[in-house]
Amino acid sequence: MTLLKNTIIKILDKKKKVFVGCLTAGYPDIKSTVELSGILANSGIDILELCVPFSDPIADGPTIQYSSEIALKKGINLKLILDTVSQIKKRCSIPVILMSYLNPLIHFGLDKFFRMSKKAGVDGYIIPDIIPDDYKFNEIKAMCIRYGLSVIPLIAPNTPNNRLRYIDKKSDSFVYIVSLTGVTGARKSLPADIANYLTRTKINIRHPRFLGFGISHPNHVKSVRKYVDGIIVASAIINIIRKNKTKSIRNKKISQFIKSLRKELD
Amino acid sequence: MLKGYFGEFGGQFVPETLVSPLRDLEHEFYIAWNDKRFIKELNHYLATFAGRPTPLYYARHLTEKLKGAKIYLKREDLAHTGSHKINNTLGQVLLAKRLGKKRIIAETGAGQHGVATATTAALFGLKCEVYMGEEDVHRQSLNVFRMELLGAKVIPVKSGSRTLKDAINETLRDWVTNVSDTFYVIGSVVGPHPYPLMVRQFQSVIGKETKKQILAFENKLPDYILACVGGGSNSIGIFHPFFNERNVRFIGLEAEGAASLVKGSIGVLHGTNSSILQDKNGQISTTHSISAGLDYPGVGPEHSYYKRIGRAKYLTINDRQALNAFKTLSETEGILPALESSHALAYLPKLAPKLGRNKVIVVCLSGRGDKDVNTLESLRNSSLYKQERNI
Repeated sequence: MTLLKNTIIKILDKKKKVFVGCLTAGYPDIKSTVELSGILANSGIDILELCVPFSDPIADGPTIQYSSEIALKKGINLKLILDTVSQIKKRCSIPVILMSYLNPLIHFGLDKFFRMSKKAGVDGYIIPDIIPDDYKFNEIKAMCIRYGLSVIPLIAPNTPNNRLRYIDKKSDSFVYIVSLTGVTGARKSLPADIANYLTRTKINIRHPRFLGFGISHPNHVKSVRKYVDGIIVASAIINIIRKNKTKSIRNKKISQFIKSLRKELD
Repeated sequence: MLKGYFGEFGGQFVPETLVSPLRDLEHEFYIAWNDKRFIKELNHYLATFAGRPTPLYYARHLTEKLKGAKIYLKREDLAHTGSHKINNTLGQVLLAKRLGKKRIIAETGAGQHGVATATTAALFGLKCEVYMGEEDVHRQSLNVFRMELLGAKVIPVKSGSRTLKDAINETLRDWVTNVSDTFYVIGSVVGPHPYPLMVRQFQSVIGKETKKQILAFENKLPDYILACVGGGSNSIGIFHPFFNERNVRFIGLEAEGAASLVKGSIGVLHGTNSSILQDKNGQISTTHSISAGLDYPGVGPEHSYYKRIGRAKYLTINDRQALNAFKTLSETEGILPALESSHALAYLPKLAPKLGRNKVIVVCLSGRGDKDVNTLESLRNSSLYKQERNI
């Protein structure tokens, strides 16, 4: 069994929930990405997600657009990201998944990249602009199976029940439940009718379901924890990095924030 | 061929949230396209509102000047709103009505598609918001004002390169957010399936009319068809009905600073797998062209397919050549062409003189140049324009 699946099963077996915390790779710089990964792991996340910066992130809101733009200006690329993953893995043992739009991966060469990323210690992929119906998804899936990598599909509030079941069949480790119709980004509140939607996913999806998009406050976690198996938090963490330029303060605030969410989750 | 693909090009590379509306759209489009009442209604608006058919004009003076093949211009500049864009917006907004959508969104580069969408939304009483790169808002300010006069809201896009590419990103983000009540009217043969196919069908009216008209004038089909290619809607529109006429050669002209087909490589941008301009890390390149409508690092997947199978040839035209063509047509024929269309015209001095007088070239004059007079005025004292006068 892979590290990712094993980690998830162990946590769920203990009747606990999984916490995925995200950073934009290379934001504010590579060194900080490594340092912050350690802080996230020590403060209570179970899985680290690194967003791969892309020039045209159509599924992302202002926060990740901004962090991606800065990281790209500083010269981040896939090779450097794999080096970063290697460094992170030397420091902590949690699974690392990459969130990347398809084009940089295609341009690098899919097979070559998946092989190299496995070596670097990557455990899985979230690709927000590919759907399981496309033949390219099957190609990618076959390559990832070969290298022992997970491919994590997404579902949205307007995904019908039969399609939830179809996507579930295409899953291996967990399914990414997008909380709302919209782009990534911290929100004041989650959609009012989210309980019905999450119940619908529970009935139709057998794999663990992690909720992402918009989660940015302990109250959000409190309101959804009973419906899902885990949460994914990205923009809210990146916003703290953006607001706090002094390292020591930044690190402390991130640690506090992660702990506050963890507390509600458990 | 796989559904939604032209050879290996096309597809649906989108967030899951867009799967459902794209399926609804595809379903509704196929029903409508085979529904006589829909076609009748569309044709009614094309004839009485958009002014179709547009004329095919024999450019006698230009032909005499170049001393070669006979040159005809397909006058899309005479369509309502000043370009071919209205053919597509009428079709899509009629579909939006069938789907019960209340709000229309669109991206625009030069502003021509934005104006056509705003016009059509006004006609059918729908709310309309248009995303436009901040840089384009400045260089096409006349079109911004036109859209506002038509009751649309123009939203300047400040991310990335602040041109068409970023306007599409932002419109997609809006669509993902407001997916239940909003219809995205894409302006070119780009984006995820079914858009490239659907927009091509709506724009094919250009080629269908051209076929009838040239047969009436010349009693034969043209030897060459020239059209500019940005996203590629006017070019696919005029090319496609001639696809099986293998003696009719297609030449697509790209802006040199945005030549996705000539200088690009395969990749995924805005939901489709096609030829794109990208750097060594697979990041999308920023482009530059004097013509805002061609300033796009991607191209419709069907063009990538035409190139792959050798059905069409694609070449580049630089800013200077386009300006020269603009001036030539204005002075010889009394027609101000859009800077986009000027790229197609710019290939005539290279092609027409080499062909015999019995040969026929049709150029798709996709739009009129009134919107570009500010750009031209600002270039008046630049080296680009001055050197031009000496040619």
